[in-house]
Amino acid sequence: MEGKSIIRAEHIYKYFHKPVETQVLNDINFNVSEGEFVSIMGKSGCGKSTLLYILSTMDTEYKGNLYLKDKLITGNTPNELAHIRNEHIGFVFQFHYLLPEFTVMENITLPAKKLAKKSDDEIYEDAKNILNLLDIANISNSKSYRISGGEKQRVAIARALINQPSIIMGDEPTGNLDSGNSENVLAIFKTLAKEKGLTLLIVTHDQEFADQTDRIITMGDGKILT
Amino acid sequence: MAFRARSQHFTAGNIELNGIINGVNILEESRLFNIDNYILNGNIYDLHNNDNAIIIGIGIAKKMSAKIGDRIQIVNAKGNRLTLKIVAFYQSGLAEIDNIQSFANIPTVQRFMGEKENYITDINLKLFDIKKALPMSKELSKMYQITAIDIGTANAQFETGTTIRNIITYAVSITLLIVAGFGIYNILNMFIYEKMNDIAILKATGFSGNDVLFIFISEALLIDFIGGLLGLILGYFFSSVIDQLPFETEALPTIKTYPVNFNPIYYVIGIVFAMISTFFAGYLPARKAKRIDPVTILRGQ
Repeated sequence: MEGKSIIRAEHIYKYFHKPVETQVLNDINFNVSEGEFVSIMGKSGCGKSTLLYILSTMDTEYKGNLYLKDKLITGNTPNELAHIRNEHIGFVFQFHYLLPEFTVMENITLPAKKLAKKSDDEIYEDAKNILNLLDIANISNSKSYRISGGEKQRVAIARALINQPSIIMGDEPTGNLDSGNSENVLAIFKTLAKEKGLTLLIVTHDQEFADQTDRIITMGDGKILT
Repeated sequence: MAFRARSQHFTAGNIELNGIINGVNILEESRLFNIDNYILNGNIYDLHNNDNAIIIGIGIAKKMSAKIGDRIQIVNAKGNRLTLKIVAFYQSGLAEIDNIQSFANIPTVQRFMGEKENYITDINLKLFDIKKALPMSKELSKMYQITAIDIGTANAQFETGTTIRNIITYAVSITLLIVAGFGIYNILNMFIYEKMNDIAILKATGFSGNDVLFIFISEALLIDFIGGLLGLILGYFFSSVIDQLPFETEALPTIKTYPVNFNPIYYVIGIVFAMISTFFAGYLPARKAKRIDPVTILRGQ
């Protein structure tokens, strides 16, 4: 299934300058097409997280070209990149990073309110649909520090979905969850990919998780092996 | 404008004293220079209504054991004599003045000195704008070949005292504002360290550095505004309490409590200064929050 290119990396090089000059990424080239569920695997320190943060536009210190939907985004200003993240990229991290004082609903709707493309009523409607989809509608008014770890991660996924992003990126989204919750999150991702046609790019070192995805990109020593 | 005729005089009872007798239009003196604030045991109308009346300095009265209603005889260098009735005492609070100063009506003094009705020694002018005193005094002395002294020159000592007091007041205020500013700076700094993760996730989900800056500056200004308002209310409350405290001084016989200036302009200055200083105290940590790199935070854990 060769769809439209969502995110494409061309000749990405990345160096760390501290404490010593080290090359982390060496000529990374790959493409993620629309509707693909891709996982990146590799040993610790192989640069897979670094690559993800470059792809996420948060890390701008690299050489090479990065395209989002065939548009070059390398060299954009921080404000433009913030807007791109807001509109096109949803994140799920190993830790949920919810705002603890806010309710689940507030946490989920915050990126949409920032984007301000829809009215508040529409945003809440969207949020409710997503909560129903993820089966956490019952906790929508709880403060986010009061809910369980598995629920938190699902809320984080909901937050990533709220702006109907072009791609969801995950940095070890199941790394901090027990097997039950991991399976849950994986099931959610698979549903999203199959039923909603969402594009997903997940960094993981969980082989079982990776086996369930459409494509596995294996990395080693800053290069793509397969 | 108040006219005065001044004469050297000797008051005589059992004892003789040297002094000065000012012939004044007492109503004008009261209207322009608030002389009634310094009048004891009587009032200015007693003098105004009686050509043979005198208001004597409290120092003179004490030395002569004079009471209200007593008569004193005044003598001048030419040997002219006049008997006047004491209707009130004058107390400025400065002993050297109260020991020699006394007031009578202008015609009384002119008659006593054997001068005509057009004999005037001093003219005191009060201007609506005190800043015009100096140029006006120069203009007047040039125009009429007279000696004209402006209030600034006449009260140079007093002005110096006021200036120094103002400098001290502002120095203390600014020091306090700086200390308060550091307080806010510290609170926000700690707050930003605590909220590092939240800032990172806001940036990851598409909030720009300026959005984060705005959030923290708003917070600083909010602290600022609430604190400033509370300060003004507390300040007003304590000023009101101080305004009720007894304050007895010989210099100001009519003032019984601490004089407090409730002019709103000082409250405006206060809040504006507070807002400005704490804005900067909030801006520095907020700028730090703006620069936080989400990658380092999100990868760190």
